[in-house]
Amino acid sequence: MKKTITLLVNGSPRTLAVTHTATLLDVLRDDLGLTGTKYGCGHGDCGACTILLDGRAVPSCLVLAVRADGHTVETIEGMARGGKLHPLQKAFVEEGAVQCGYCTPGMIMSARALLEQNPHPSEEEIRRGLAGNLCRCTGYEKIVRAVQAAAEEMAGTGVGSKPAVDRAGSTGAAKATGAGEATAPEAAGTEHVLVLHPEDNVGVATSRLAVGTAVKGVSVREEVPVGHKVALRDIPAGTYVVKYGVPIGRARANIAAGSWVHDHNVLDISEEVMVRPGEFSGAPAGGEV
Amino acid sequence: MTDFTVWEPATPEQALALLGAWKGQARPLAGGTDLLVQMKQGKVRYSHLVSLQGWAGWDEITVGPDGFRMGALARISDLEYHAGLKEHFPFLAGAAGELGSRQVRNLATLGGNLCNAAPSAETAPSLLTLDAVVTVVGPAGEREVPLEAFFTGPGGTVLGADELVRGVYARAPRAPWYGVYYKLSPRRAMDIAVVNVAVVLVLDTGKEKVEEARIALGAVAPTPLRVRGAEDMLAGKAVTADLVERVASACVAAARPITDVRAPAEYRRAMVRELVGRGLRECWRALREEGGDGA
Repeated sequence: MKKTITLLVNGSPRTLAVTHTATLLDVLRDDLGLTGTKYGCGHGDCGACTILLDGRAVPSCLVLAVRADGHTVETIEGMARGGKLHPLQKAFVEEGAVQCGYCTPGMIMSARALLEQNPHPSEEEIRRGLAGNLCRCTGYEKIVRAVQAAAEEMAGTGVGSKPAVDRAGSTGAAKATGAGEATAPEAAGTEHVLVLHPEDNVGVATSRLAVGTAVKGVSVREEVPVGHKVALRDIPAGTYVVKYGVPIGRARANIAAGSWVHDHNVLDISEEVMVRPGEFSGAPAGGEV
Repeated sequence: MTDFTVWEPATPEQALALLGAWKGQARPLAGGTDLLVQMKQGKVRYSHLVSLQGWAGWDEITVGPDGFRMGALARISDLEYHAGLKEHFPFLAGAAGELGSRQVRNLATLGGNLCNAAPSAETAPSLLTLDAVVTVVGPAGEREVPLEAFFTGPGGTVLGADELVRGVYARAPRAPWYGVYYKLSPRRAMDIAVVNVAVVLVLDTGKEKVEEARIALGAVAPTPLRVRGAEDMLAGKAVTADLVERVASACVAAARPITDVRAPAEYRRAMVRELVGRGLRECWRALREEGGDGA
């Protein structure tokens, strides 16, 4: 039994058919490709699946998607704006509060809810406020420090600009935006971005893009005539697909040169994506991946 | 989870009709923080879930110094942060704040906490010491059930398969009164009580002696319960160390704890003794300190 629902996800209306038994977590990850939110326990205990539903931090594994119809959902992918990390994401990276990254998206969403309710929390209040988010790596110390640092910045009481030290390693920002796969710190891989231009030209980025780089304006090496969306070369599975500067999916499987690039082989190419030229929500995968 | 259909009735009447139609195969779904977990674990199975959501007035909380009325769909986090509840009944707002985690509290409801009927239900001891009354709606109309008579056993209530809890109300005891709630659990958060206890003392106006005592225990019997025999021992008396010891012993005798993964029964009995003692001393001290008045 399926129901068509509309969710306002990170500011974009998404309409899709879901089964009655699907949780919001299932739908976010599997149907909308927003894999930043993690499945930890499925029972509402660990907090890895924390998202904001109508502004309230909730365990998305315990929300049936059909009941979220018409409601507002905010996930980790919506935290960064215009390629700029949210102060919490920045603080998590700078304070080294990200190790494997699995708890990070849920932890950041909870921290955001905490700071929205209490902009000047004491250390005890931070720990209590994050009590629903488990971390097996960090021991929580740096997470608490990150929340304190972010609180100061958000309240405008930060002690001037700190050097942009990334203590979370090369993959920290990716984990803090929900883009990176939670993994051991040395994640490898070249990020190729497949760019669909407004004229439906297709190309491949000329060079590796660092996470967080705005994709608009990236030079495209090879183009195809208007109207054709054909891969010019083999596109490995996992390659980000970007349309109008907004990431809208990843190649589901290898796309051989000469194949069409369309919704059969790209996860979630969707016409419902609200396109906002000039705004880029971070990543290649700060947006909808 | 096995397959089920989610019904989203626009009104309580429609919900009741659905529950009646699918009797036994349908379950009301409020926050889902217990029900969905149990379904995922395969502990229960329902082919139909009746979503209780979006009904005007069902999540309202009205509080004054003389009492309160709360809708069944009031979220536990709403109780936790309600200014009026924190001011006039802080040991109930505080109890709500002990439930699960922040995220769970944002979904969980008062009605759900009571209908799930865990012996350790977080809101039960405080509500029991306030002689709370549950309002129930069903095909025959509305009825009232004192909370003390609401629970029938672990996971069991007097609610019929085609009934819903509408809300809970209670009147404050006569001033001066004070109440405390303690939850004992291995973890500081995200845990189920090994023992939870609420104690209310009502003193005479001179604050020389107890007029009325109310003691509720949780997690140490098939249901949360009041310990009337122990309470009666305090009537007309001043709280002394000796009396506290005797009252605590009476509570231990009334408790029927089990040994489970969380704790052995002997530990639970020992903790009943300790927490009841602390509760009595804390209420007595708070009321007799300068400025101590209602809880």
